[in-house]
Amino acid sequence: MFKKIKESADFPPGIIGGFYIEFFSKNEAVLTGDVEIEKLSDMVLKIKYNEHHIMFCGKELEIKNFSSTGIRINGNITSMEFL
Amino acid sequence: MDLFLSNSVEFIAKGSENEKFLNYCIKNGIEISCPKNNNYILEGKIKAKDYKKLRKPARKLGLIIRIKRKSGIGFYIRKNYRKIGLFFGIITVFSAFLLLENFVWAIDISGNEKVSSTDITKLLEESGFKRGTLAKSHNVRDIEWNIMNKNENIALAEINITGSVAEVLIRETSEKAEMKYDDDIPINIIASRYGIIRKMDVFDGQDVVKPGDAVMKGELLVSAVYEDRHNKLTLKHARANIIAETDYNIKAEFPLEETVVSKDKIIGKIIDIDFMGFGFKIGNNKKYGNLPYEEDVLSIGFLWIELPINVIVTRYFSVKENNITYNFEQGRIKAFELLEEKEKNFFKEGKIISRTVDEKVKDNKYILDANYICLMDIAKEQPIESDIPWKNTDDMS
Repeated sequence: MFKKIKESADFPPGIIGGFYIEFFSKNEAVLTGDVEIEKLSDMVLKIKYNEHHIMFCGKELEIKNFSSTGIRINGNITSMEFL
Repeated sequence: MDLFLSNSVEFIAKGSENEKFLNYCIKNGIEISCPKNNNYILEGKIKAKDYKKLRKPARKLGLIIRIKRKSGIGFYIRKNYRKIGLFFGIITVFSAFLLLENFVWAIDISGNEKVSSTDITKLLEESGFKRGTLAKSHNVRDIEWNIMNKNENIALAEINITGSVAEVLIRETSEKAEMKYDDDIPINIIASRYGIIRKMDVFDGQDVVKPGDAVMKGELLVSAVYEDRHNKLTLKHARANIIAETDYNIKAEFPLEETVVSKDKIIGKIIDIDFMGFGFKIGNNKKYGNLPYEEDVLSIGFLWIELPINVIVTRYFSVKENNITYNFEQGRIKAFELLEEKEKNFFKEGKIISRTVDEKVKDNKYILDANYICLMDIAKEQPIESDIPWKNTDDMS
């Protein structure tokens, strides 16, 4: 139902369900939403949002901020994959 | 900054479920800053009050938690509470500086040449302006006006107070030009001594002698009675330079034995501390009487700031008397030095033609009796005394 409301009202992504990723060049990424960390290291960062899995690869990756509303990732991000 | 003010702890968690541990903390409202995971070691930063909340999830997931470092103002105070005195001391000194900045600590006087700085300082003190007074309590314009009024040599005075330093700029009056012409009274020029006139420069009046004339002491050389161009007799202030050949005598004596009193060694020291105009003396100087002394004034400063604190050290010396005996040759040399000194003073504007010196020793003194034939100015002014009121009829004056 939320999906239908979101499509008909044309809300921006992340307002009703879903997650929102924002990149600032290749050094920072901000993910808005209630996420969980699956794997944390300085080269790989795996995040889970509901049933979605996202993997960030790069060098010197670190979590700058992590809260119930989102996560901010810093480092040299080389790729991002949806698993 | 927020973590520093609210006290924070850096912790290390060892285990295999570090990611689950992080998720559990976030879901339960425990915020962890900058988590880093490396080879089953998780590092992070957390508020000190939240650290205890980590024990439950750590125990549940089999993690071992240790504190790596504590930081924050609370931990800092607990660690350094013994140094609290130092902290309050620093605060007190800093506050004292802020407070004392409102007072005048130093007065710099510049631009004065004829008027001494001591006189200017006295004038300022008469107006209530001195070191140790509150800077804002003075009406600077009134003080400047008082200084200019009380000393005619001061044309302009300017006081600028910057912080705790008062700059006093002085502009002095320029000297009045010396007025040569002073025709208020009639004056004759007479001879101050006898001689033969060699040169005359008459600027005003009527000359009654000429070069080559022999004149006696007191003889009229230039008369104030003058016939002007209208053939009328008038009285003038006669002016002239009359150079005559005359003789002169100078005596010089030098004792062959003398007692010289000089400073020996330091026998005592008195310290005066002047703090913002108030003096504190350490020591008693009455026992030293009139013994010779030397004073050193030391100003105390902090970095580049001159404080209103002066330490005056007065050193008293014992005296020793030395009896010095000169032989004839030494006495002669010293006597001639004295004679030459006197010649320089007397013959500044004259010229010595010849000199004969008689030398003798009498009463343990080496005596020189010098007779000179010299050229010197023998003009001497003599006012004319008259009951008749004088009026200058020369229309050129």
